Amino acid sequence: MNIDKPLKIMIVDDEKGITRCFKEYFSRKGFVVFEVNDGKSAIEIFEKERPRICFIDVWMASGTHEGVDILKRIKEIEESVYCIMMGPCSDEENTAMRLKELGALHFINGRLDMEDFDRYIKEIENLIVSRS
Amino acid sequence: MPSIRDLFHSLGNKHNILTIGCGATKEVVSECLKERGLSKELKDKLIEIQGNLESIIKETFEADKITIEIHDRIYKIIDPDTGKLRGV
Repeated sequence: MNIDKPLKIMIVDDEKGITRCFKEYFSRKGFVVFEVNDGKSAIEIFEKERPRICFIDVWMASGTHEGVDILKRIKEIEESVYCIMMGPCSDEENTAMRLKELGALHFINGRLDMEDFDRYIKEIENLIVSRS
Repeated sequence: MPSIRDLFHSLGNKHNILTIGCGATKEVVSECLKERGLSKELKDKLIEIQGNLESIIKETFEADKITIEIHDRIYKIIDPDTGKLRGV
């Protein structure tokens, strides 16, 4: 197994309650978690800490797709980062397709659930092992 | 005054806090249940808390389905940014 331990995860969401709960949960499981609530900080933290996994809210600010800009930028910085995009969207198929074209691994449409996060992180850990 | 889009965005975030917060708390309760020497009474209470948290998660998902339904109906007739009726 070749996973840098502890695995670094960044969560980007404009709602602090979400990032705080996420950090508490995954810190308890032994991950190093960076919680970020705006796009500028997301890029700064990413450049400095290079997390392997990023969960990014698509709709970061009112009616904007700031999360998409964050995805594009961090994929430019580090192509191998695993990004999972989050956010409700009525046009799920096209949004998921577009985000995958930009390098996202998955798109979580609808409500967030810890079991989903657990499942995606497990999947990424397996990918890291299989690609090492 | 926040726009209709802002209000739905905020409501969605609140739903997420509920599901994620309950999920995180469930995990803590689960860890507590692994402790040795817990009385049966305490164990039963912790299991009850887990069940209640699970119910909140489930109900929040249901509330979200209703929110999406309301969202779609409203967006059809009102511009969520201006609050004005479409086509008027």
